[in-house]
Amino acid sequence: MGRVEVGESRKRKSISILRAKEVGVLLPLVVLFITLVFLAQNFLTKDNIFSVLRAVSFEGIVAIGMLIVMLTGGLDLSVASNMALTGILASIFMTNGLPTFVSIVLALVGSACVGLMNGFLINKIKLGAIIVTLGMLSVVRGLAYIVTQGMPIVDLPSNFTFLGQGLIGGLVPVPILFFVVISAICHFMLKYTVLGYHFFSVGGNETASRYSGINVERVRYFSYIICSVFAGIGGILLIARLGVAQPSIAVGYELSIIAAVIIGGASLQGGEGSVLGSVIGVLIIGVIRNGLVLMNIGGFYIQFANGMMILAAVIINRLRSLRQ
Amino acid sequence: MILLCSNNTDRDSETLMPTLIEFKNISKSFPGVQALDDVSISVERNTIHALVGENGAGKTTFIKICGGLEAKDSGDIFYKEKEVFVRNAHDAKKLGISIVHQHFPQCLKMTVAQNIFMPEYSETTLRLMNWKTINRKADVLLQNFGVDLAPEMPLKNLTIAQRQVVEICKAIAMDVDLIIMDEPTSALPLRELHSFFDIIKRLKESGMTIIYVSHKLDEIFSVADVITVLRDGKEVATVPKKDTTPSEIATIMVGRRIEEFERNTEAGKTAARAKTLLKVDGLKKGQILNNVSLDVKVGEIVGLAGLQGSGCSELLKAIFGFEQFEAGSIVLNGRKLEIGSSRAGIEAGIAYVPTDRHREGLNLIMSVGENIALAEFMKLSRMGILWKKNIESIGLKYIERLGIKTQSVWESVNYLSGGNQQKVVIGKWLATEPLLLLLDDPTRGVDVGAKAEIHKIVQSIVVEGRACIMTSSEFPELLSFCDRIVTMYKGSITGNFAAKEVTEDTIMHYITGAGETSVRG
Repeated sequence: MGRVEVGESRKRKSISILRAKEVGVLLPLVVLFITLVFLAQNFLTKDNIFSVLRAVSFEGIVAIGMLIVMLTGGLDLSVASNMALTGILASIFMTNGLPTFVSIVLALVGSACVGLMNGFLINKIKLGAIIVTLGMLSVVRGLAYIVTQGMPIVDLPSNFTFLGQGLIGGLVPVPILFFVVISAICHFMLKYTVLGYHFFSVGGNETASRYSGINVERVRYFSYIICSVFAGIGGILLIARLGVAQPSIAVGYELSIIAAVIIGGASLQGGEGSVLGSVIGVLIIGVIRNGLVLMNIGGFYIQFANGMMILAAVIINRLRSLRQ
Repeated sequence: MILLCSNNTDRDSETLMPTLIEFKNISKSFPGVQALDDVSISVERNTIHALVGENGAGKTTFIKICGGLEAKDSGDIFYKEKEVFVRNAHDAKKLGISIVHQHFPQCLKMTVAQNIFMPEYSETTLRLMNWKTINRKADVLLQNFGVDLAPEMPLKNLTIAQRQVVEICKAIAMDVDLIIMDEPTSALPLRELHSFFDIIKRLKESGMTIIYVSHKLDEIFSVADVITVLRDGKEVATVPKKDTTPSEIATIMVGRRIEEFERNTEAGKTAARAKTLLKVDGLKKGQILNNVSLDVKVGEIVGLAGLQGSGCSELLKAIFGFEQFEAGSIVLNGRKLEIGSSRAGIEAGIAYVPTDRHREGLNLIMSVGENIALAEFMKLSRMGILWKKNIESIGLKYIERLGIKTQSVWESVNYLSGGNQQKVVIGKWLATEPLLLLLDDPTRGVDVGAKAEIHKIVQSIVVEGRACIMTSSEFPELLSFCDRIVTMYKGSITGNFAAKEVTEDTIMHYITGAGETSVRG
């Protein structure tokens, strides 16, 4: 019987630690880190490192949700608005006497509805993800202004602000804990569950998935709802950190979140990416911002640098797809 | 004599060889088209049942209905003597029916094993996936085929043939009894065909039933047990292979006798033949084109033969001006051509019909007329304005001349069959009134009838003092249709033969690098 020819020889142990994709992303982070150790005096202090980690946690949690949407080949531009709305809803519930936990759960149900709406418009009305979530970006931000009438909500309960400001063991800020736990769960979910496998396969080839009997629409619903709930969690933690719920928080975060996910190895075309990579991507952006602040480079430059990082991310995405 | 069984199944034969799946009076219509009209087919267990027909005969619709990807309007399906309802891919899978699609969609970023087990894990849950076990199962499956592939290898590193094997493994990874293969060899290089047929025969030996859909008759006659012919959505004949011949089947397929594409070479052998139309000299581009020289005379049809990656397609693109090159020159009709400018190519009188008509040759949303006029928009417009009646007149002219089957000039190309789409592409380039026609595998995926028509069109054009260079994935086509065959291997020209004096074996020899002597074209 004829054997089917095999172009490349069998490479059994081809997945060595050095060939892992994340290493390519980790390298710039290490270089950045070492550079800043020398350039910025206060960089390598316990306080600063934890403050960087806490600062990236809010966007980091949302980035994990964004990663899931991007794995399926989608995009969610409404996350930053969703962060604001969810945090505000939780604050309104709390200041009206509901217990903190109940308020948070109700607010997260609200954020899930945003994801459901995104999924509905994309699945059923067959609209493009970018245009749908761009519309939702404005709608949701508008809702945040409407429910607050533009006024900040103050006097949040202390068991709520603890989520953003508290320290565990007097050292580790609480948001970091959330970030780590969510990352770990999602890492496991993406690698070892059927749901995770479906996020990859829908993004890798929608038709192949459909022909294999995968309910592509359902998978997409899951991705947008998970992303929105994570945005909600990020928003609640951010407001808990600030201690004041303002409708204008997190404006523009969606772009740096997407940039972080792309820098972390995900592809805008879907089917590629990892939690580890996204975490590193978020860290790279956080470390650059922190470095600029420590070196007394003004706020205008930070905006500029943000833009550069987004462009860099898109160029990286383009180069990666060209190489294939 | 061929035995034409009637639509109603012979009850006696059923007791001898029980029927696995029976389709009774299946009909399906799309807006404006009756895709399937009262089709009844019964497929016996453990046979290879071929389904043939021209493009647009309803083969693909039939497959989609079998696999639950399309809903039938009427009719019943009996599977293992029970009536079944296949509403989606999931239902088909549960019954044990799986499909190997023509342009089989796969996740190239995922591994071999991840692709193979996609149908098995199609229920979206939080169930755990044990990749170790899955990889081991995939390995066993691949080994059974005698295929040496690592289950962890990403699919993008594989050749097309290997991907095809993965697709078949995917189809049989589940507990299946019936595999439907839609044009399974259309993506396969010629030299992989034999191992592919071995796999099919092995599947049959292991007790599976296969519905093999194709319009390549030579393939069907080497694998099938029974042949069913579809024409215009109707089942017109079901015949055991041993009782028929390829030419009989071909006649039934088109419903008329088709002329073998024998070229009337006498017409071309006129005095004009002495004149050189195209002179390519020392074309060089990295590893892709290696010092390629070629002369084409007026009235000549030159066939470029080569395997994938031999540089045939790239040479055509270079002549047209799509491809930049490092050294060499192209002279058409005594005029030196500008390098790497397709605009210059069009102006000099070159027409190029790409192989992938969907991606490179057609705007599927635009109408037939607009597509034909596309390359000539400049000429058709006056004062920068495009006149509708100009498009209409040029569209009508080529619809008539090429026999394009369309409702009107303004019909979207999307609704045309593959053969007619290809004619639109050819029409578009004929509208530029070219001197030299470059055809990159013009009859790929086109049925026999349309193929013969395309050949006739090309011949009639060449006789008018033009020339043509073409490639084809089918060498018999090149041999019977071209005047001259030029073989290429790894970017170099390896041979140059008069088509009449060369056999397929010799060509095979030269395109695989076995022929050492390099002959200048």
